[in-house]
Amino acid sequence: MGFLNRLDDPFNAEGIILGKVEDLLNWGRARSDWYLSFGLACCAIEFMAVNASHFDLMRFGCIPRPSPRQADFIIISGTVTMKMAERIITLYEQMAEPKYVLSMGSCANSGGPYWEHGYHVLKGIDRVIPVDVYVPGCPPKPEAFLDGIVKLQKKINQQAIFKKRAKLAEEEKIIVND
Amino acid sequence: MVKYFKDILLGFWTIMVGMKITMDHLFQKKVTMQYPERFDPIDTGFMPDNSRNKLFVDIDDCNGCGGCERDCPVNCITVETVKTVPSDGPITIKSGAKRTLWVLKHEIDYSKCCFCSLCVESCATSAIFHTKEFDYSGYDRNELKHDFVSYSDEEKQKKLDNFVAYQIVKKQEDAAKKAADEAAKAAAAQITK
Amino acid sequence: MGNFVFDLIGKNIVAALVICIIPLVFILPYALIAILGELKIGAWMQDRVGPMRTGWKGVLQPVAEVVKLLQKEDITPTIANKPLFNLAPFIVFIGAFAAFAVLPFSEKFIPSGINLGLFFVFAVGSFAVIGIVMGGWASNNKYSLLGAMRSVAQIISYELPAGMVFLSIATIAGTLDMQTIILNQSGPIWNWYIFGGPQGGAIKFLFIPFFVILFIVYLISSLAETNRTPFDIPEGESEIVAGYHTEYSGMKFAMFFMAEYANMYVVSAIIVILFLGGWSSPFGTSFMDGPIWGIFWMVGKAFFFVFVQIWLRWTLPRLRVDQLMYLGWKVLLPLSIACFMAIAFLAMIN
Repeated sequence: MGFLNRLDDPFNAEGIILGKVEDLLNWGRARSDWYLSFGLACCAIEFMAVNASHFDLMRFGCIPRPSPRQADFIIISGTVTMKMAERIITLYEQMAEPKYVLSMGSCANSGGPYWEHGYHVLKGIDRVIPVDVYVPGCPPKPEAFLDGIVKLQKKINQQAIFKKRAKLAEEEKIIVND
Repeated sequence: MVKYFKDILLGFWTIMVGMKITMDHLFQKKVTMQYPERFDPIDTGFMPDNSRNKLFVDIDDCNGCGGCERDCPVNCITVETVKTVPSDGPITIKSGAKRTLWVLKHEIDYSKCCFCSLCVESCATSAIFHTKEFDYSGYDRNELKHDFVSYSDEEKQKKLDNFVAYQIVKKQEDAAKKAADEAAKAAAAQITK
Repeated sequence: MGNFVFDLIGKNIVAALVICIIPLVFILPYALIAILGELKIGAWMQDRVGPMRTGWKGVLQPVAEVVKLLQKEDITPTIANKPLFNLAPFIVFIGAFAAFAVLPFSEKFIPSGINLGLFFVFAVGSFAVIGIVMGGWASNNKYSLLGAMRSVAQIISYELPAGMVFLSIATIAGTLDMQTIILNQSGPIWNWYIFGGPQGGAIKFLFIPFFVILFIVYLISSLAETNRTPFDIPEGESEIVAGYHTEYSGMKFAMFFMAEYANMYVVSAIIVILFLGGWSSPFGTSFMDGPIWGIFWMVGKAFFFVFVQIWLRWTLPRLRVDQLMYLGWKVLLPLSIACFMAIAFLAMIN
């Protein structure tokens, strides 16, 4: 996941002023996550519960956007079939940088119950797009999902912006086809 | 014509009713449970006892039978064991039964687990059970693999070596015993002749 | 009457620039407040709490959103018509901003005191639809085009009833000048046009229902003109992805967003000017009246109608296209024409 490597050394600040500007920019990005939800299976039902009054995803500044161009992160919730994986790649590529991926539930994490014998299921969404946070559960509790959002915001808060990105190596660009 | 005006009035009236409802809700008490600040399911005991959250294996209580591994419908559990040797001394599992197997690896991959609870039902010693922990999302898929065995690599290697050494010893013993048995048999045959 | 900036600096280019900047300085904080209000009121109406973790009780949420939108990648699709695509959001925003030129804030401040105020607002109000069609067409995306087409059909349908309302008020007031319309209504609260206007006598009570119907007609068609729910079929996310701004990201999308909120203020201010006495105090000319209080009354009343728009948004579901056309052509237009005739009759006998 080449271009996300910059997340690996978060505390490499580039001077005080840039560091402070970076803090502000990261604050804005972390606190205003507009999401593109991609509900595929039973996890999407649990995701609706997250949006409803008891758990209220909007507390974290997550506002639903219908168009990938305006979204900051995409929530893959459910079983990703091979056919749907192509659509996910399209949607992910249509999103504007900086973009993040939140994989929700066992099926999106690694294929879940289909990881061994599912001839039609993608064995983990991280085979086609870089995932930032994995939320385990089958499906996850709404609180577990909110924990995923908190971890994602923590991750965004620690990013180094004023640094050149490492380019994707050729072998990393190859999409796994199985 | 009457229907036309009736429809308009009805539409207007229903909009008013709807707006009254939303206005009522604007000032009602909010039902949101604010998750990171308030940990409601556990705080209020809202989480049921049979809720299926993160699994935990009490490795001191696990006798290494591998029932969970066999019963797991998605094969997300990996159990590796090695036999105990007499030199380990009289060891028992927590519940008191004799330990015959050292558990060298008991790994659950939560990214595959479907939380069906079949492993909990099949466990003879109730060593594997659901905890109340549910928020353990990670930045990497490998973070979701959890190995419950805390032995260091040296200890594991030592246990394997012990077993291999014991097997050699046992083989020699067996051979000696066999030879002794055969000798005794031969002697007995001589006598009967 | 007049303009306090001209009184202060004199009629020169500096004064003109200051006058241009004042509405812009007003729009930016107003848009932030309106976005926060939209999020919070929407959440409260659904028994939720809304943004809570950005600043105290989430009050900094719109600031965070602006900071984020500034950093977002600005995507221009390869097959889009680039000049038109890049121009469209600015045209939409200019359409909303130009209307501020004739909106009075107080007795002493109106950016441009032309005597064709109502006509000007009506003209630049249709300006936004050009930007929307431009954006929808230039995006080269079927959903954008569908959204733009729906927007055109909707705005043209609903401008007719709105025009009839403007005409009625112009007939009774005898002018198109905003300040004169407000001055006509100054005095006690029953001088407002929603309560029959300044003319005395028992005959005015006969005409109050017509004014109330006109008020409701304009409220509904103003919702349609600003593409707000329940008339948000141009951006109905369940049917066409995000309508005309599907392909827009980053600051260009923010321009569309801000234009929508600026438009909300414009139509609310027009409702206030036409029916609720603009900057004049509800307690008559003696109490809480004057240029400074005028700003308070004008902005306060307009904010109330912004709240009503938000309130309606979180109450009503979206209309179907055929229902929208039915409501526009078969209900609002006949009603507004009937009311126009009644009010023209009142203006004649008065």
